[in-house]
Amino acid sequence: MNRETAVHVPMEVEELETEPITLNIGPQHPSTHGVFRMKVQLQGETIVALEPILGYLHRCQEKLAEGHTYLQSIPYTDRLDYICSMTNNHAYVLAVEKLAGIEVPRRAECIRVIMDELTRLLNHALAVGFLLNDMGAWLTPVQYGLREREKILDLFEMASGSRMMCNYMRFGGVAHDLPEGFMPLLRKVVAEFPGFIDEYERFLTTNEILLSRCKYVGILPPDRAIAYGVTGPVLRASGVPYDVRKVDRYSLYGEIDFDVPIGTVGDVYDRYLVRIYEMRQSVRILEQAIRMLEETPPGDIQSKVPRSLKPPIGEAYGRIESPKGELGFYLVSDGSEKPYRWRVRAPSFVNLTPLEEMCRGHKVADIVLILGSIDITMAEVDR
Amino acid sequence: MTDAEWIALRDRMARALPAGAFEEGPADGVIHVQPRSLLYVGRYLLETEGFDYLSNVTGVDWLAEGEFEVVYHLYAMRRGARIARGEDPGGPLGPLVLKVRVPRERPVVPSVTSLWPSALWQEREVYDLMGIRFEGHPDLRRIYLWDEYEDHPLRKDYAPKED
Amino acid sequence: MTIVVPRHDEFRPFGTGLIKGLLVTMAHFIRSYGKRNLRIPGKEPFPGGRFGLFTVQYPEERAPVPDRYRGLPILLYDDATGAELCTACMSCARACPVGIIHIEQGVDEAGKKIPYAQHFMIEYESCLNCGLCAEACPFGSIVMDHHLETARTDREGFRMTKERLLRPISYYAQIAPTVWAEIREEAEKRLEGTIKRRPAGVGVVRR
Repeated sequence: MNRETAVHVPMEVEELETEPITLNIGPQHPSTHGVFRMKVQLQGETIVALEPILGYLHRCQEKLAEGHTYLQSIPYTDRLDYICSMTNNHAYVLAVEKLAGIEVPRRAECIRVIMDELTRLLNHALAVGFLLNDMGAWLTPVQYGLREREKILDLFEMASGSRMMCNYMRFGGVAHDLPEGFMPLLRKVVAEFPGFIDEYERFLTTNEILLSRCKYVGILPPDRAIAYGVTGPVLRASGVPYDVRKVDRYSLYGEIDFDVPIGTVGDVYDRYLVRIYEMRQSVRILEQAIRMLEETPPGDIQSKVPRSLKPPIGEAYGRIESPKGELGFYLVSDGSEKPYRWRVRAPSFVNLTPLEEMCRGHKVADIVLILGSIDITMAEVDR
Repeated sequence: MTDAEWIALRDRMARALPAGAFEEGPADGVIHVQPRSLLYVGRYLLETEGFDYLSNVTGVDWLAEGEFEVVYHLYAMRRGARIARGEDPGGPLGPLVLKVRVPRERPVVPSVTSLWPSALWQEREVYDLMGIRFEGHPDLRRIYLWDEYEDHPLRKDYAPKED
Repeated sequence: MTIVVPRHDEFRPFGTGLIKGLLVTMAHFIRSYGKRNLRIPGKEPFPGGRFGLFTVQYPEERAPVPDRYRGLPILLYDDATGAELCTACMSCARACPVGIIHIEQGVDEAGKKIPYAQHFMIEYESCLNCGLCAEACPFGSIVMDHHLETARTDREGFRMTKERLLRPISYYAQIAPTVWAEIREEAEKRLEGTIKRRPAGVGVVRR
């Protein structure tokens, strides 16, 4: 429907008088990735200002953890970013291992890398699917992603006992060794995944609706991204190839060869494509990690750590590249078995800071798109 | 940071900043700063040393010593980005830990949002849960708890009220 | 080292992307009538016979869960002698992050503590299913069940006392053979010592 046939406006009226309205995109909303509230000031359909209101899922996990021992906090880290529980566990045990000076045997490191990259595949498949759900492609791309996720969740269930709240990593290694039947299934998943990514790209990447809705929407220039402390695929889509796996070389990432996909413009389309390319790189890392696991002689999967860990007095900041960005744990120990200060540096929380800047000037329908492209989990934002 | 990088950084800072602006902590990579020189040291670190990525702002409540401590973790992102391109970073990558201590009776710290906007929401969170005020923050109000709430839960002397 | 993602700005006739997408979904639709989704007994790639997204006719059949699956905790007793493995050492109560395990150790006639739990109660409604209690138990007594259907209509029914928590070792060895095989030797050895240290007849399940 073009403007000439819509409404006949007499030539004397130049502009319609409009008043700004405040729209509340309330905490219960199917597209806000959790309980997230935004107060949006609109001029017509164009966004003038946006104020995010958080705290609907605040459980004060930082205070809870001060009453638990270090080991008892591991199930709570599962519930921070509930989609990627393995990487949450890994970041926490990395911080405690830095604090207490615990070494990790090589077999356990290989298993950790495999679990981390499987989590990255899980998260990106879901993120891309839900980005398209937000766009209106009601659940078809989600179901393609969920089909692949089911295979990986079966792997997690075999290894750790639970699909989502894995509670798998321990200080100095992992909780249990991989069961029989894990490796053949893992090889099958890794062999079939590139075909799935190609199929996903075939029906999404050049789709006209996606191109017209995603291109040049929600642009975040690289210097603003660095200033706001944004990390993860959002930062890399803006053109800055900062990846904690390459910088810190924690676990076995120093020995693994992989590339870092970056975007040029920093819009929603770049973030979507960066996630697709990161899935391909994760498959590449998985192939190398499987080979490293097979070459490692069978051995311990956890170094000897006292049941009730009492780290020396001090502090540590351990960070990893979780699928959403840089996930860090800052721990202060006073020598007892409970932490003095337990802090989560959540990537979704910091990535959400430039939301207003990205949304200003766009239409209301673009808000859910931009929010979906940042890929947040409210449990991590609110902790 | 390697030991050599830390020693070189420390010497550069000692030459460039006035005496007494900062003190080295007991561990490598830790700098203690007085609240009044926080912005000065921060601007030097951002503009001259290239620590452009503020990763984490945390508050710690040292009840026994009667002080609050605000801890900042700084990294160099533009230098770190060179690693993925296969180039040499050419300088320390971090982490550089900045610590500021203020007395518990008057917990006021200058805000670093003018230098690193990533502190916008993280400082609001520290204010909400610990009660440390950040001077110069454009929008200092509670972020998680509702505005009429009066106490600060992460403090060590917090006692939940029975409703 | 870095890959720059393409922008796909080149010209293509309007509608080709949509048609490509519809062809993909149409291919899946047609393929769904083929043999791939039929379960052929004997050619099952995965325990239980399914892989990926599949439908289970729920009340009549149930999807299998792997051995390590963490449901809710149960206590074990020996089939032959009926002796409970639990010695009330409190390791699980200390390990539980939510503190829902409540144990009271038994005493004999002289008032000395014996390795027997007089009262053992778990609040099932607050259980995180984390499995830290099963990891902490040195006697192999508390383990994770595979029971999935745990909904009730009364809140008090969730306070599981010892009689409702006890299961024979044969039950656990049947549902989780690999996990039981790991802890079996140690558990049986310690059970002998436990039976010796208990007064006769104490800690025996009469079924």
